[in-house]
Amino acid sequence: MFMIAGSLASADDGTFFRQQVAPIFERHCVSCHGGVKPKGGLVLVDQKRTLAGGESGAVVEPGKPDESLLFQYISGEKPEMPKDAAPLSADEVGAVRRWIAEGANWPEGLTLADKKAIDGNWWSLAPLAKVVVPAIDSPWVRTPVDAFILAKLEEQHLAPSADADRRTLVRRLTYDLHGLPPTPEEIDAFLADTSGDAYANLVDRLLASPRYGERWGRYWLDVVHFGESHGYDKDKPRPNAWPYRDYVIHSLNEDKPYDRFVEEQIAGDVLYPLDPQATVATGFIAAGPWDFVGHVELREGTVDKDIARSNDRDDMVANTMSSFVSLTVHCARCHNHKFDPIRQEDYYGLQAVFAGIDRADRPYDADSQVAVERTRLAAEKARLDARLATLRERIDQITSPEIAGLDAKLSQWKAELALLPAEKTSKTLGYHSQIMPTRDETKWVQVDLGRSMPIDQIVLVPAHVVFGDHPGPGFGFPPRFKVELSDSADFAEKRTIADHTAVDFPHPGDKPYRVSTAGATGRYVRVTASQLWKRTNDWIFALAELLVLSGSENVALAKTVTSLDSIEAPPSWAMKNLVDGYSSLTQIVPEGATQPSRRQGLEDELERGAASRRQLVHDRLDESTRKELAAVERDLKDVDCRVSALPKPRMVYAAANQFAAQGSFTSPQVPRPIHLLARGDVRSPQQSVAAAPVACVRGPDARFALAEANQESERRAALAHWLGDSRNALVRRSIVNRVWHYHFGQGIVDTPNDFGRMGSLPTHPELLEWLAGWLIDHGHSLKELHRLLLTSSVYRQSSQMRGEFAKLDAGNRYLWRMNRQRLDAESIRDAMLAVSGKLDLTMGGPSVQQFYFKDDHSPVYDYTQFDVDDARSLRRSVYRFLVRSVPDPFMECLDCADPSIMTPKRNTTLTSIQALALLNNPFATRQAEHFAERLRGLTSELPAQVKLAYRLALGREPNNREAAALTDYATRHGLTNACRVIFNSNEFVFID
Amino acid sequence: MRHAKEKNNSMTIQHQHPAQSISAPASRREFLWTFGGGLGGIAMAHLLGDAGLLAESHAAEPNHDPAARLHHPAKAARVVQFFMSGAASQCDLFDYKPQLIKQHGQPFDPGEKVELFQSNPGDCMQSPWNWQQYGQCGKWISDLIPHLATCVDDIAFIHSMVSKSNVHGPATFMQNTGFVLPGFPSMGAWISYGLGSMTDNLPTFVVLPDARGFPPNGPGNWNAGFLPATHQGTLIKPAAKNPIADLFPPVDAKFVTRQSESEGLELLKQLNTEHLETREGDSRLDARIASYELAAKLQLSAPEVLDISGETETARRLYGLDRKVTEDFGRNCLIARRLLERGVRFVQLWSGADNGFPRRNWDSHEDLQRDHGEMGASMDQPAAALLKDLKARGMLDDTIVIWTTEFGRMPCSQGSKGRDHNPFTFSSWLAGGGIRGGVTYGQSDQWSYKAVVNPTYCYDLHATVLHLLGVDHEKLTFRHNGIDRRLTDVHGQVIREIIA
Repeated sequence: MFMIAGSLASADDGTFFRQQVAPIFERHCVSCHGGVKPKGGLVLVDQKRTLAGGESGAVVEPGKPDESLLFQYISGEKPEMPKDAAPLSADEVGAVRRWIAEGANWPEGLTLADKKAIDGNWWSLAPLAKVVVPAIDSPWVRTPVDAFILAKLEEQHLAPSADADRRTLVRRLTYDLHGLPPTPEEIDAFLADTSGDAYANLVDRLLASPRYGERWGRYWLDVVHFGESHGYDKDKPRPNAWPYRDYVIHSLNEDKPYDRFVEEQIAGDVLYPLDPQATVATGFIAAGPWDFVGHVELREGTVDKDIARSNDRDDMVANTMSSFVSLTVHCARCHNHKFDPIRQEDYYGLQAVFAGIDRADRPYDADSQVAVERTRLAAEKARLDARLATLRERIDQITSPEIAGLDAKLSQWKAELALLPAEKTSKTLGYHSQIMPTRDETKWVQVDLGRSMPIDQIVLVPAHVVFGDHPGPGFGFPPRFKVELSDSADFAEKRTIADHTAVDFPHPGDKPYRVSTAGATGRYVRVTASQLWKRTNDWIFALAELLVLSGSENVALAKTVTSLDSIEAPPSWAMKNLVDGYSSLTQIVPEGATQPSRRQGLEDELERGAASRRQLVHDRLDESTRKELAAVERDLKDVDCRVSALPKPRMVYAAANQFAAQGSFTSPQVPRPIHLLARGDVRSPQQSVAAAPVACVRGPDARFALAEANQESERRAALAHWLGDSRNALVRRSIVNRVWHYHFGQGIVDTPNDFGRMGSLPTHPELLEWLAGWLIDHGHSLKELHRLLLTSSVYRQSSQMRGEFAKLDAGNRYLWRMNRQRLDAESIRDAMLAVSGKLDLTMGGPSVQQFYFKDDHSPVYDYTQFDVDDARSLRRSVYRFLVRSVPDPFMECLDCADPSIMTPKRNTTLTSIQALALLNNPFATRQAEHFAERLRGLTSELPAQVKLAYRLALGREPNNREAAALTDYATRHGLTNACRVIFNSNEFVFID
Repeated sequence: MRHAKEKNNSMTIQHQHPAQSISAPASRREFLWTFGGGLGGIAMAHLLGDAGLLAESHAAEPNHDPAARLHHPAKAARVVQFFMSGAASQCDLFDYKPQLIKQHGQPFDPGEKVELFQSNPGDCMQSPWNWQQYGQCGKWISDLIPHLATCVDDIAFIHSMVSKSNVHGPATFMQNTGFVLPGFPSMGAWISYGLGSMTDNLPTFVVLPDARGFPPNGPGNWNAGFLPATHQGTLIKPAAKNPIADLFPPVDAKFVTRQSESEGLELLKQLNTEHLETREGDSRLDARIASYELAAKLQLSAPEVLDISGETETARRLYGLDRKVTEDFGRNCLIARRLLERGVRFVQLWSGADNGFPRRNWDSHEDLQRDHGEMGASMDQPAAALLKDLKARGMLDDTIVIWTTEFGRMPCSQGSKGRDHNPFTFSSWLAGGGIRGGVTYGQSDQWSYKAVVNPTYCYDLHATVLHLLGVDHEKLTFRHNGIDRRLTDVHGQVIREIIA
């Protein structure tokens, strides 16, 4: 019945629905009644599902508006729909009524989209407002910040607390800026300094110390979820991630303007190509997790590969927008943002910004002079290459009857070769070492023949790779190597069979390397590379096959292979492939068993023919071409020489557009196309999307002006400029709130990564606004900002509870006192080291691995098999190597950040597991021992030792009861036990 | 009307949104300070993570019935989860397909392009094990798992599980956390967060990894993610020298003696109490004092729970402790029972370690008979023993047993003897606490290649488990980076068909 009614009414061409009704649905209905989980099971996006209705049955009775649930819901005194929103206007209700009355015609094929207009009027999205500092006359007001705070306190019938005592202040400030306790001398000096600017001088001294960058850099690493392994299954380490960590620490210490800091992390390599640290800065983009299996092992073109890539881009977008603008743009991946005016197009526009890069190791020059020179030489080489190509083109034109005749023969041989039956093949390539950042590394691989036996000849068959970025013969064949024989697996005693470690061995191509052993005996044969083979920017050692001939028998076949290290990537690469009887891909013809095969003969002919052809052509070159060719080739050689004479570039794990291929993970070259994905599903690509910023942020330009839209670097540069633009107030609000959050224990906005409608509102919106403007006016200097906040009265308040105020403002949101803070994991650990006297303040460099590591198919990280007295244990915690899959349990139970997720603020838990760790973890017990040892070295009497222990660990002297109790305990159980108690005390981990 | 939801305002634990009000207390601590009068035991329990979130709404009511704080009456209080790492084959264990036997050796042609993880599809390959019918329900089970076969009348099978990923890492995350990305809380952590602890003496959520090592993703699988670290799984390695990290001082810390320890903890309490006197009103300081008392309780109970010397010979044989092949997993299963008995809420047992060589998990690409043969033999008897033992002790009624894996394996061969990954269908099962035994939900096609009836993501399994525990999966949320996160993301339907 009802279908007939519907089709009868289609005399109308659908214009009315299209123009009058569809926009109502799209603006007011589809955001709930569409998508993956439609409310009430009702979907209002196409004819079929609209007529089908929802859980309450049909909602449209064509021709009968008053009997249609849809109409009932939107009309009447207090319409049920749209839910939690203003009712539709009378005109809109009328339009729907008319549409149903006229037969509810829905034009063929029309599908509606969610066009819910989310109000763009939101405090955080507006341009920066000018704010006037409240005029308050009070002796409590030391800075404009205090005026804002006091105004709000008075409004809430609260009052500020008095300054904390100076001993508390020096401890608070030192932990706050350094994450370390003040030394007794520092405390004494501050207490003794009665000058009016003693406090300001203390702040200055602390800000000038490099300890500041280490403490505050760690906060930034939390925000950007910096980790040093990929995460997921096969959680491989990232040995070159650390330069980014050093970059962050260094940037803070040198007080790099925040806008520049932001720009560099998105596109430093593009904007400041001659500043090496600006390239390191893009480690930001690569900071998060990466799906190794998805990128390296999955085949191109599979759905799972696309998902892995989409997730990877998603992480970059989320990291960028959460860190810099505190917006949850990542919520718009599957649908328009439900609460903020962020559309799916915005989200995919940002994915497009990162579409031309991946996370990978990339080279950089630590010295900017070298960077300049390298850039110059690269340009020179490009010019010469182009010239050479032109010459070659000319040379290729040269022919003669003789050359033509040879060409005919060559093509005949090629044709014959192609017709020969294929040789027995295998998918195996051979043995492949781990990849190294430098050439001068030693790698070895050896085979165990099972027993000692006489050997006649050893043959090394070079690997030959036919795919990837380095196809060709002699893949991985080291320029310097030696071959040794021994009867023991550790080669304690050995016989050298061949030694090419002093002079480069010419690259053999496909030609097997042979060495006669003159009848030596041995059980183990080892090949040691002392200089590795260069891929693009890194170095390896690979071999297809190792033959050990005893008589004519290959006694190495299928024997056990071991090596210093190996990339086990079967079927291609595996240690056992070194002795599987196959060179790369084809079976090795048994030695001396047959006449050279026809294949071999043809291949030799072809090689000789090509050589004669080169000579013939060369003979016919005219003098000037010959001269120019020689000159260009000489110049090229010279350029290459000068490039190789430059200091070796370092590597950093960062955003990269060019990098060494790894399995199916290859450089994108140009940006990959980005499509809007319906429901975020890679199998439902919609229109393609161009790189763009988030349109709802008012102030900076809402579009990118890209000269070369398909140039990867332009896209990132445009985003960097958008963020760096001082008109982008959100960037400034975000950072001043973060700084506030770390100083006070809670932000002005309590959700530092979300300034949208799902986030908290600012407690002091005017103050936040004023601070954002102040930051811009002060050259984006974070140190200036610290100085402003720390010298304010609000920061100097006592943390004492005041019951009458707690009833009004339990959470202390208005700051009528200072918040007492529990030290974070790093500070607890570092403070124990500082107090025990073991802290090593060496800065920077590769991260310290405080675990046993074994590289494997799935690498092993074991913290229990690590000596806590190892020197690596004594560095500041910010230099720990951060493994994603297996975090350090000691740090983890102290709520240290999980590098798999962005951590704008840490949880603070107090658990029995934490208590046990601080009591019993070998690190903790050892520090108690070192602490006691240190005390004994400084003073001899027990009471004095206890007193000193308090001064070192808690920054004060014990009172009589404490001194007596500890001395008594130490007398009976030793000073070490007393030190252990102090490390576990509440006072050690809570800062007033 | 599956979508119809009852409103239960008193039970709403969702964060309100948009969360704009700043006058509302921002944390539970503040809530309790404001409304609960401060330093009550409940406030402290919150900080220590002992009380579940659901205790909050009744925090101010003394002597409230614990059950009343749930969203609805619970049928179970505890969970034990078996996780087969590496992807256990549904078509060699539970999912019987006569058609596959018939077509053995013939080309595998499901009529569409088959996209596999590592290989191109080989021929149809029947299971190397025979199949027999078991129990009242007549369930077909393979000869690989004869002990579990005797439990089929207690088990509800789901033969139509599907995964969003075909890669171990993401797929293992998904089964544990509902997301293919790292950084999300696992089911055990969510349950700890929602329901809290049943004992002061032991952790709420305990994980027993395979004796040979961690599964793919490592401890990320039992992470608390953005939930407080309190809720992460506590690792117990019964076969290791130190089964629980840092439970006792290291052996080389000779300065610690029994006497120094007890007097030291007493002194610590004294110092902390004095420190607290001038800092009243900060419940964190009380909570930290209490955490040392809880630690001492754990030191007493943990060795006891791990000491199985008092178990009878019958029990030891039941769990296979007398045989090399079942010894490790059997010990873990026996200890799981002891943990559950003593009030641990969630125990996760792993069968299978990482993806290395030689194979030490269920990832049988090369030789299914050899590798599944070994894994099956080590898992079958102990898992069945735990089911039977829980039943014999009357604990199965309120303990949910889950058996799952990250995805399944293909009915066609890889090489000639192995099977590649299959995210399109696999099997999980549940038993105990409110589960209907002897039933099968969902169905795969004639080869066990794709789920065709009721394809089921982990969301539904998770929703069902939470439901049986008295929790509405849509209401157990935590705000992180602007999103109210759930174990079930934006999905999940309770599978009524398998509920008793």
